[in-house]
Amino acid sequence: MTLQQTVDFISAFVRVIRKEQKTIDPLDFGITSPHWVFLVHKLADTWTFLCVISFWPLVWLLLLMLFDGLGPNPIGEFHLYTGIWTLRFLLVSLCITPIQTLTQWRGMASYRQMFGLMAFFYGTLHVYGYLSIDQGWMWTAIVRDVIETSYIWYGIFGFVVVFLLAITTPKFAKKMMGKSWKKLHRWVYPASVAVILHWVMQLKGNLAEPFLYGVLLLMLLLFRVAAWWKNRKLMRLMIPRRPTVLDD
Amino acid sequence: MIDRIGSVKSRFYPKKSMTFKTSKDIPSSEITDEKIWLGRREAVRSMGVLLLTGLATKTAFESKDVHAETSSSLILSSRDVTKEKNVTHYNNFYEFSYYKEEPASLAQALIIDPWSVEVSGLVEHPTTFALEDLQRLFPLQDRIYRLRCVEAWSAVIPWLGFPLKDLLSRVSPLSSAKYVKFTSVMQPEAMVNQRDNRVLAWPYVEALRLDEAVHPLTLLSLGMYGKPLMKQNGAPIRLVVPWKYGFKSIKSLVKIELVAEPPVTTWNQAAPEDYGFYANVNPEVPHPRWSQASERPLGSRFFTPRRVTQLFNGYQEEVGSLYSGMDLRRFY
Repeated sequence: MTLQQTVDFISAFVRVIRKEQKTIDPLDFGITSPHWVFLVHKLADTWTFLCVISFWPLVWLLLLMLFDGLGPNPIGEFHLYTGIWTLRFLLVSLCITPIQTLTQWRGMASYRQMFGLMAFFYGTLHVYGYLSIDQGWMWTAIVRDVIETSYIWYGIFGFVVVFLLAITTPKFAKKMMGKSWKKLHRWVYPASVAVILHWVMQLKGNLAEPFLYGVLLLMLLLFRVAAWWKNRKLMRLMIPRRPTVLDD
Repeated sequence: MIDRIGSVKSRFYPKKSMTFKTSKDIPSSEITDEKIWLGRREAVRSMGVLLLTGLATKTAFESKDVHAETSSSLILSSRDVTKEKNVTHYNNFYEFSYYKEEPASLAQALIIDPWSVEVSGLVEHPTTFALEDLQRLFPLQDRIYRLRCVEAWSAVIPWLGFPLKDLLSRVSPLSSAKYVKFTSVMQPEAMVNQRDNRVLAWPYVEALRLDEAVHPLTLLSLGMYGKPLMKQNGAPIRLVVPWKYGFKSIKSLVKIELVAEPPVTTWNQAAPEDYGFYANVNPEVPHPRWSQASERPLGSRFFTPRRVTQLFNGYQEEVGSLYSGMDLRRFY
């Protein structure tokens, strides 16, 4: 691959992501090895590409663990790392609907689902890490810790919600639940707020970082409020008013 | 500037070793990197041979070996000491940063030469001690203490210092003195968070009851790990109160006042529900937002269980009598 071909290749990739082009022909860019051709075809599918890079934080975490990169309090750092990535994926999944509305792109529900499942994945890692490496499955200690530590309650709430959302992912669950599926999945909003509170409550004064995530979440929630408000007004216009009974 | 390391080091050979008992044995699983500590001793010894006469080198360090070998089970020995890098690169020093990794570099801007400590208030002889005077007047002792942070992590640190009691008896407190107030340095040029009173009201203030202050465990420390204090650990002089949460052990101390009324202390003022005046380590009294029942020792790896926190951080035998009859839940 020459430099020019590389640049073209990247721009083609961007066109695919922007849905201006359906797929990439690796041969156009001098890629001939069947393995690479297969990989390009796979990754040119945006969904697969994003799914694969969503595991990068996990790979990085394993590297940090392996090479002692987590500092003097590695377990505390593990909790922070997996917790922040859970929150990030939650926020990314909450971004999908606004992006879809603003750009009028279609069919992004599968992305929302995938990022939501990623949030569940990192959240599970977070909880599992707490139970196993931090507390060593000592249930009496865990129960005491949970009772005495109020910030954990918010974390549990967030995780239970994300867990319920994750197990209702399959199509048949959605079919079975009918209208209540959507109702259940609206719980992601309070769950995200709880996750941020779960973080804030552990801190003693350095609130800048969670504040930033909080502002982002607020914007995402306000977008939904605005959309709801607009829809309501439209609905009102569409419903015919009751004719006024006039006295003769 | 004179060679500070050299000049301080020459005073770092304590006359007498003191190691304090803790009520419980420390399991071997907690042992952290003895090589660093033992290696340090070698390094200091060889340096000592160069710097001083050979006489001073065979005092404290060797007598501690005897302690460690003879009555091993009850004494915090050099083998329990936390790796030095973990203690110097994981610091709560809010004057510099809210992130524990950052003071290690940011604190290097602190100017600690010249330095003096003013001792005043209700005393017969108010005195301002230059750091050199303190080094001259008070022989340094080795103390290996546990440190328990209110954030539920802990360490075992070999301090070098002298009992605060020695300093206080020199200035003769008046009988009206009931509390001791400590003030940390105000250096907004170096301490960025002091500039617009970020997070806390600066300078940092802490206080002890007079009987706590004169307790033999209460230490004014000038060094650790056989070296002068690092700036991120509170150079050039700090307080060490091992049975209280770490925030009581004020860093970079400039003023000690004896007063009659309980002083307003920084964290207590900022969040009285969270950080009490006493701040004694107590697994039975949780912080409003988290449990204090266990702690995570610094440097403990994956698959190392948490350590169960002890009342008064394991110093109950020594300090318990100070609080007899007191409701520790109310006076947290």
